[in-house]
Amino acid sequence: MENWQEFFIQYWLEISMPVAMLLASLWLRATSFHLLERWRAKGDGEPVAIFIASTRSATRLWVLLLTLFVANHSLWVLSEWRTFANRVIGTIFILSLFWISIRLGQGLLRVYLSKAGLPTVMLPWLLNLVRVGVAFTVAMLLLDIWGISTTPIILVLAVVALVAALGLKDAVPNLLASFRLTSRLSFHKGDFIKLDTGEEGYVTEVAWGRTRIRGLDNSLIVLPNNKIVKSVVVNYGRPLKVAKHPFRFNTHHHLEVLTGVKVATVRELVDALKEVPGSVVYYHTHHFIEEHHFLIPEPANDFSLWVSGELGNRVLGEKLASIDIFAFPTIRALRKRLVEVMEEHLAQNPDSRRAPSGQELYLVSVITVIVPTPYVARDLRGFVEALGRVSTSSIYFHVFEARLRLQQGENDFSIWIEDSLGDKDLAGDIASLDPYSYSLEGLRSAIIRMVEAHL
Amino acid sequence: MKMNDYAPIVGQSRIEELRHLATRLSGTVVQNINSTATGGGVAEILQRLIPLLHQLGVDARWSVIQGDDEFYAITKKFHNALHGNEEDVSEEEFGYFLSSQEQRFAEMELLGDIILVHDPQPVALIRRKEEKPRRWLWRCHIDVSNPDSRVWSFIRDFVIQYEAAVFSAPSFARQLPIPQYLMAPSIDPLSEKNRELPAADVEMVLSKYGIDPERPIITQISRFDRLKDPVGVIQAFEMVRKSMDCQLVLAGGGASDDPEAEDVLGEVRQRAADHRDIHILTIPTGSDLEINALQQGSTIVIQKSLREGFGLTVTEALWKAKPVVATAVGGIPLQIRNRFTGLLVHGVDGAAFALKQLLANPDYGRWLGQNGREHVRHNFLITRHLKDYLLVFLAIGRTGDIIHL
Repeated sequence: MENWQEFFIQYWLEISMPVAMLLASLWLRATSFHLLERWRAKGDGEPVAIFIASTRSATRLWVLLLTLFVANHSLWVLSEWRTFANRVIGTIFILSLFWISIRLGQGLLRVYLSKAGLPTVMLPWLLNLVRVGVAFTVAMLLLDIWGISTTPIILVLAVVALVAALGLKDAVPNLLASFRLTSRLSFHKGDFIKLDTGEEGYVTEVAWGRTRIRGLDNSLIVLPNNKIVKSVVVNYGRPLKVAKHPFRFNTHHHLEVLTGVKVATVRELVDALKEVPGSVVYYHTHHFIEEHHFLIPEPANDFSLWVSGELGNRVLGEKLASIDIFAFPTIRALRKRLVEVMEEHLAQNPDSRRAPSGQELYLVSVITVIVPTPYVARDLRGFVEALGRVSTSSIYFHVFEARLRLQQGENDFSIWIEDSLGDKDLAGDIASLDPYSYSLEGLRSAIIRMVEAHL
Repeated sequence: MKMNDYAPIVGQSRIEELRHLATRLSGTVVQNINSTATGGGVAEILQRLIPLLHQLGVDARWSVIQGDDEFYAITKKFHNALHGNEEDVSEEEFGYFLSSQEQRFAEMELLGDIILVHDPQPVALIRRKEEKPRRWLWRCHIDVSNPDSRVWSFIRDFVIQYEAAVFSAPSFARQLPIPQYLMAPSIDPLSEKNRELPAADVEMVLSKYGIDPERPIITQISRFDRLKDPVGVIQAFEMVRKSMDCQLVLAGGGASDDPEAEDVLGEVRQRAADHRDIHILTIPTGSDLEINALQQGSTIVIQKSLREGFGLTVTEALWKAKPVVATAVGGIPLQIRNRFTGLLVHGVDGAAFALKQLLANPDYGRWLGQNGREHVRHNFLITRHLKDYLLVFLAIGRTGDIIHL
């Protein structure tokens, strides 16, 4: 006991210094946290809360380490252990600092990325960056504390960094572009975008280095962000109402079938028209639309051309040419009207004119071969973009074939827009277009204009 | 030629359509059978089409029947008789035709899932129909609308055993109890005869034949045959020349191997007398480049045939964006919509009138020419021909007039 008393009397100053440091640092810690709590309560306290949560337990450890550090230096009896003890204390302190930095960085980055409106996809990248940076610094400090030279390591790391930079020369611009892209992000997942280089589609993912879009033909397009940054990007905005059922664009081919039937007079034509399959009537009133779609105006139907050209009956030819095919919902109704017009004319003008040999009208039927295209529309934006790209055969199929030949009574576009998108107005507008008054390209433009105006 | 070489002409989407259709024929072997490997229109068509079908992934084969001289002499008679010419075919000749089929063609290896027999020579191969389930098609390249009834009846008995027949024009066909598909012939826009030539090449050819490139040129390209009415062309030209400055070029194959052609050529030369603006040119067969240059150098192309097959010379002229004046015979009305893609006429007076209209209104001629070129681009190029073949292969054996692929 006496020895202890002597010890305290002799070393009271050396002992009181760490104790004083302990008490002072405990008071300082308590006061600091008290002020921080008040600051958090005042305003936007989320970053402060993160700071408090990250440092509360660690600061207790720091108080203890500080006390031990002072004690280690003030108590001479421990001098033979001083260097080792300092290294241990320093190591623990650095490790706790590492732990705090990570927690703090993670919390603050999450808050600030969210506030800046930047995509959360950046978070793991930045966190990893912070972790690597802090870990590297910590490692260097620890090595320094334990007396190991860090110069060779830094040199090696510099060389590695140089090699990596050369190896990643393509990736780096993409990463930089990603920073630029995300910092002034002009589109988001789900938007329909179009680049001036031709790529277009719905954005499905914005990631580091590349952006994925799904094209109108359902193809997946991966665009390097570096390319996007250099391009003019038109963003048509977020998806419109999604159709209940996607619209698959089809196209068609016609295989002409010879009936072997030829007519040389109007009477023979009338009699044949009553008997032949509907596909013959369809062929002779429609094939010119595709065959001569480049002509403006298009020539009239075959019956009119033959009657006026080969029989020289211009009056009847004009009557046949002016039959409004659009007014007839079925081929049967159209056939009936053609026969009526010719029979009315024959009743008033008995006509025995006969086409010269070789100038007869050969009746032709047609087989329609329907083939799907890769183009699929899920909303009006996709529809209008695909409509601008499909062949005229596809437009012909959905407008003319669907209405009369597939006996739907209406064009496919209007049916889809009304049934799957519930847009009766637009469907009605398109349905009211008389396609026989347009060339196929003109029809394409007219429908696109209508949908664009609607959008 | 490569399929993609045609993309700038017909559009990439058309090429993609062909590829798409061809995928539906994956695993199907199509065997073409005809009577000659070289020379003649059918061989020329197959030489062009088969490599392109291969590029599309279609396993297309080509076999040639081997007959003796007598067999071919008989089938030549058949050919003429089916064209409507009078031919005296004896019962022995019909018998020889049949026995040849039995002796020689029984050994022919039939490899195809689809057998496409071209023209009458191998038509009797259909007698092997029962050997194995296959699709049999008869492709008729000739006009059988007005045939010798005896020969047609003989051939028809074989034809109706096929599943379907294919004709080049509606007017070429006859009523048959089997489906008849229409497949118009085509031209190859990349061939020597149809590719675009540099202006210097055109001028060189015109200069070679003493034709003045600075004055309007009216041209008819066809062999010297009365059915092509070269004398009628001269008459029409003379009517036009009275009031308008122009030159006439009548160019066709040499007459050395065809006595009738020599007679016609003599008549034409006599009719033309020493008219300095009429150029009668006998150009050797195969001089495609010169024919091309003459067509490209022309102001107007005329085809005043009295009778015509499909009329591919008209197709060639339309492709070169030339205003065409042609008689409404054979397959010509399929190519020319009167006053839209050319002018159809019926006689010498009409031809002269149409020529004057075009000479007096070059803008109208250019409009017709451009329309004609577009019409050919969409309907009479080899790519459309390929599509028709693919469609026929896909359609054969299916019923209904709507086919979903």
